[in-house]
Amino acid sequence: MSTAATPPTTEHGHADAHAGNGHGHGHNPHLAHHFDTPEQQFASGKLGIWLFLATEILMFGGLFCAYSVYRHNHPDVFSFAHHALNKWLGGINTVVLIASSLTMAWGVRAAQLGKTKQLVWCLAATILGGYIFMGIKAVEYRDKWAHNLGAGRGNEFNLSVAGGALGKAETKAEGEKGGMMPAGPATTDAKKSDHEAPATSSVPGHSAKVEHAGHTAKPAAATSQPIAAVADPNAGTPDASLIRPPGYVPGGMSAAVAARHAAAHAADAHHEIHVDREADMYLKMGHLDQQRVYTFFQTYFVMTGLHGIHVLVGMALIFWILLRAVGKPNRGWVLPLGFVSVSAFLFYLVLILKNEHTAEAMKTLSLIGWISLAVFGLWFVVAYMRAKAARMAPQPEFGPEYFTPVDLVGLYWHIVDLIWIFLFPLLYLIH
Amino acid sequence: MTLQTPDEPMAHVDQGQSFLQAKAHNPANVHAQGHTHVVPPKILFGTFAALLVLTVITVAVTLVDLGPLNIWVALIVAVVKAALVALYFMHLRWDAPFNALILVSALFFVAIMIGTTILDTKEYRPNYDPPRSGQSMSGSQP
Repeated sequence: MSTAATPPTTEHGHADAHAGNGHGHGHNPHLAHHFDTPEQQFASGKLGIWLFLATEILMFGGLFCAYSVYRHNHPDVFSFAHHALNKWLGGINTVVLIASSLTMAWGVRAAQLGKTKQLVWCLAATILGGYIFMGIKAVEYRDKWAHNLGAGRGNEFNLSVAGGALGKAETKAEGEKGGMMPAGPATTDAKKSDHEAPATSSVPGHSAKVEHAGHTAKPAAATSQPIAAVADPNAGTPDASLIRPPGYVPGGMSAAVAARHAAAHAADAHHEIHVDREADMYLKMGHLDQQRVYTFFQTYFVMTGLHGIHVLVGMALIFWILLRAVGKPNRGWVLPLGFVSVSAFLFYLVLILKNEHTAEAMKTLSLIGWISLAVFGLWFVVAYMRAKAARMAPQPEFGPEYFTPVDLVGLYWHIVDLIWIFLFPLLYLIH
Repeated sequence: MTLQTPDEPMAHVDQGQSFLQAKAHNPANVHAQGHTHVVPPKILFGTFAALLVLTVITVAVTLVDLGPLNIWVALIVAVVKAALVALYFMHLRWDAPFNALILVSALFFVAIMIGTTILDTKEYRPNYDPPRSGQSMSGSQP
């Protein structure tokens, strides 16, 4: 800023004047020609990343807005559905992200002080934190699917498919996706009865019966037969076929909850209490709220999913910084080492996601894992030997004179942490 | 803005750099102006510890029934945690104030977006507020 009056021709003049100043600094190789000073360049970079982070905040702000409106309108849905999330896993992930933020901030400090070794270890620890976070996230997502609480068709609260004609036909074709629910026979029975419903729903007598069940017999049914069918609000009206999503089944959702309930009964008495309380909450919800439970899961998957993508992007950026931090001869073997870590993560995914329903997909995934492990492992060995044979002094890129990329990537990583700080209490810790 | 000789800006750079190196050896010197600010480990670990404590608090609060206050406690704790991250991990405390202004204005616009949307939602709420427990919708059909 104070140098704005410098004549434009001094860009190379700088270099010459500077080289001869006896301080041991040549022309700063990191100073781009359109900046006057490293300070100006650094400040511009910071300004740029902060503007970018502002757009990130606004993007997540849209999701938080959707969340607020939905929670404001349907508080019961949130207090019911959030029980599906494991607050301990979410809490551990919070700690993991905070710890990785610490290692990142420490890495920036190390870069500023020119402590390359410390910087490299901090960056590696931060990437490890990202892996742990994504690993725990994978366990959480797997559990959602295992309990039929996943996204899209994998969610029993999804009205357009749950037990419906559409969903059922495709479920069968895909090899009993519905069988992932804990209740084996109970589930299929419940789903079968749902399945038969739409065939007869055009008969006026049937819709009247359903309406009756939902209208008067509900409290009684709740005790005798765990959960009563929920009336279709459009049953018996001319709108019924128009308003209903394809495959909608009256009582489809509640039957799914009943199936879970039965499964818990069969499984163990300890779990029963928990599920009873949930089923009770579900019954006490308003009727329209019952139909909107799925939107909680949509919100959850979109918000945590977008956040997860940010974690992956952050990990990739930190790895790029790591490559530059180790410098020229070492970069050659650190790069394949990063790919080896990706292969290791693939194996971890295979380990946790494997069950009888995913066997085929996991076979493919582990094949990819083995191939990439072999290719990148070999690449690593060769590159490592070549780097050692070169007998070249490491040329780390970052030091007190230039650490801007470390700082900026660090800021990105911190904003990812910052968003999780809000996601965690809002999704997992609803009271 | 006075006209400068070509040498002056470079002298400025050298000051900045030698200053930074001086700071590296003298952590007490952290508040002075310069190219950038090196955060002392004590502050880094202090922030980390505070974030951990606040995380424990926010989990513990869910075990206590505060009624409608629960969400506000959770949000206040989250805001304090976010402020700690922004001020210390993200260097905003020592950064150019304009960067903090960008962050605050982004939050400001998010607040406007959420606030006005909620206000609008309130207006429409009676139209589709679901009936409470046990009732069916058949009564409200056309």
